[in-house]
Amino acid sequence: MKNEEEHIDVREKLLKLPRVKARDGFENELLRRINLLETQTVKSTAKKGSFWESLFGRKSLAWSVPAMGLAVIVFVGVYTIFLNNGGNEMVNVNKSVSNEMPQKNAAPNNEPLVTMNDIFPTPGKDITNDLEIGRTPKTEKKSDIKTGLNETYFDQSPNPIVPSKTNVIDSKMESTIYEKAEDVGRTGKSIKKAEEKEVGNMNNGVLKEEKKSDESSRSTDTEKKKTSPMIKDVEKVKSEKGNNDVKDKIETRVKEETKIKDDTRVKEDAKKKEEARKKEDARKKEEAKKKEEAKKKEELEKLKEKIKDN
Amino acid sequence: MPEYRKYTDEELILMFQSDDVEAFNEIVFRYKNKVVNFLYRYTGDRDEAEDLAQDTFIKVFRSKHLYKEIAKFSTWFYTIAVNTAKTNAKKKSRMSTISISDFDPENEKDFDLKDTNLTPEENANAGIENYYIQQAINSLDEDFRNIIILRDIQDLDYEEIVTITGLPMGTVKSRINRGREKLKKLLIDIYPYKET
Repeated sequence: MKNEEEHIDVREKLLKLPRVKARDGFENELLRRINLLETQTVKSTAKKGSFWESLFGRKSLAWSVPAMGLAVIVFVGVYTIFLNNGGNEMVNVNKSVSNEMPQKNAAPNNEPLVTMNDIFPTPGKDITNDLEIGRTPKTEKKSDIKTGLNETYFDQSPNPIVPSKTNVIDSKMESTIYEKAEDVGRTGKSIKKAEEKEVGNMNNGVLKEEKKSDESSRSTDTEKKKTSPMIKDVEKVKSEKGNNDVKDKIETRVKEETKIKDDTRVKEDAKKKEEARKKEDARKKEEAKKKEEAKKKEELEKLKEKIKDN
Repeated sequence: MPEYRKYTDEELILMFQSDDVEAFNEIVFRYKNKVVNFLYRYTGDRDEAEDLAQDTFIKVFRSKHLYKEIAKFSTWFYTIAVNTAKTNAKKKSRMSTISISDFDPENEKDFDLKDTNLTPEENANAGIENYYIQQAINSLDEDFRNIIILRDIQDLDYEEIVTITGLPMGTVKSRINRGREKLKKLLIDIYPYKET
């Protein structure tokens, strides 16, 4: 308080200083500044909005929402259709190409294979392809090339074996024999007839061929080689028929045994039934005796009572 | 508006916190003259004082949620005003030493030459004596000037000044005493001081 009293005159002077008032337009100016700041802050917050907000947030770009949605749906649809159909087609194309490959490999001018990698090249593949341009293909390496007496051939691409005419005939004959033999085996009794027919036909063919071979002065050894597979087939058919007979015999034996067993079972059952009947008869007799005895006793008792009454 | 006059400052700021803009208008109405007067005495420039007063109100507007009922609203408000005045003083001191290469056309106002002559309005409001007193206040150190204005012009309590400045009570009292002494000396040197 001492300090206050010391300089009280200065304090009074300061307190007496006229009060400065705010100007008339102070509040309006303040409002204007506040509105300005608010708009600036709104702009800054709008700038800070995310990518999606800037895309779809504006009212002027309201049409972009359904447009973008449709575009996405169409893209997804096309993509899925491509995956379902296009992918399979590509695989089929590759399969067909791979099926054609052996013949193309056999041909001297090989065309390049169409693979998925060719259609959708992997990154960096072009560089490796460029590097491989100067190189010779693997099949042309000296180590892979084998030389015969008068010609060269590639080991990795063997020519397909073209069947000779005789082999074709043999294969046809074999197929007919097997087919017919199977059919005959099913019918049972007509086996022998079929065998005779087939063997006869075959012998006729062989004879014809022998005649031809005699005429063309070829050796009989080669003809034997040609006929030998047919004979083997006939023997096989015979052995199969024999096996069928054995099976039939076994089946008949089994049937006989089962019949015998069934008869014995029936007899045993009949015996058991007779024994059961006898037992039942004996029981019934005993019961009847017991009833008679009980009746007699009752009659006796009644008589005794009458006697007593009398 | 008349409805809001019955509310206290604290009630008004609470209403404004719940987005009642009319409450803010009432606060502006109550404090605009006080803060302009304080800032005018602090800066010595009427326009600058009004600008700073508007800055103070804008700060209140934007940071209304920061007020808590622990202190009086007037204390919180004057704290904002003092800080605004201090930062402005720092800016001005920086501008005085700034090179011409840092010239910013948007802040061209800062480079305007200060009109030291009295305006007719100022002449009407205060006499020559007041002018010299104001000059003496302006020549005080910032630490003393701040507290002297709050105590002897705005007539705030010691406790309020303590909370506004964040200084201990003893420091506040000693600064007030020393400030008055300095002011007295200045007034004697500048203006033939008459003992009343």
